[in-house]
Amino acid sequence: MKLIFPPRDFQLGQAMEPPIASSNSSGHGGNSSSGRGPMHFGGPSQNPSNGYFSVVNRNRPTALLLDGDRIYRMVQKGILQHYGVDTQNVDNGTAAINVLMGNSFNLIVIDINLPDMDGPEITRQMRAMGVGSKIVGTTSCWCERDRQAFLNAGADEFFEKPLSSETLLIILTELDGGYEA
Amino acid sequence: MVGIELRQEERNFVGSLKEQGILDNNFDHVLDLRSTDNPRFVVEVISMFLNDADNCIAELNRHLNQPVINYARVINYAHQLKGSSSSIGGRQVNLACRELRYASDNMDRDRCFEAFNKLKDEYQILKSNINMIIQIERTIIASESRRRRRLLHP
Repeated sequence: MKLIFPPRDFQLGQAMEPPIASSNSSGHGGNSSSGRGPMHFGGPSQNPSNGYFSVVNRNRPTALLLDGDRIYRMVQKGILQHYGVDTQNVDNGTAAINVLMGNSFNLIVIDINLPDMDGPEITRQMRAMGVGSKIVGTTSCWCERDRQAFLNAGADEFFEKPLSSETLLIILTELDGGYEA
Repeated sequence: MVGIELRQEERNFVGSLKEQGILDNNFDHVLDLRSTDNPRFVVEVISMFLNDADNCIAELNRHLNQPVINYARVINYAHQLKGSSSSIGGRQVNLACRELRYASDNMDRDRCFEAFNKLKDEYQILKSNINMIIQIERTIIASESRRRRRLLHP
């Protein structure tokens, strides 16, 4: 499957190809509630000159990336920022809880394997704190047991890393619960 | 012109590595994240990956050669190396880590050793090739730096 990677100056709100469903998706529609209120996207309209759909983003989305691997954090943060997502990295669950004490994010991406606790556990703690962000669990090696653990803990979706461009587009577009009519 | 030729050389080289299955399209993300604000992004990411991967391989070697294998530790390091290698498009290393992970899940000592030997081989191939990409990148960075200096001080 060809990866869709927008041009360097691409920002959410500019033309993008319509998202393609990821084969690793939990199938859940995604939680439309977020820690900072809903993001609003205008409905898709097709540009007649290039055939791309455009999605209007009225808010700059924010993301917290929680992963113990610095390479993955560095590359994934770069990709998210390339999409116009203000992204903060942390490398352990305790640090993530501390960050969430004073901040909220539209999207939280959590790896299954963290230095101090596993991903489902930190997810459970976040939901218990009242964190309403879209939470996406990730793993470097797909496992149905891990997927169920994340979803049972309150995550919205679960994917194998790295998140493809198509998957990211789906996640970011779903942040507001779908297109407006 | 030198920079353009080097970029083409790099694209051709990366293309050949993809054809051989050593890299996949995730490496394109690393190249695309390079910018005028951060021209050293590719060098930094690859260098960090090699440093972390060397450590992972050393730890895996140590744990797998214990009289009693701590499979949880092996799984952790395999998970980490799989994640980082997939982030930079290291396809064969990624696949080898998956095999090691499955062998560890099953606590299959023989299969773990087989998978780890495969992993070491694939990692050496990836390492030697992405070290060449680092060299190309450093040459490009130096060339572009000289070009900017000439423009500023004609």
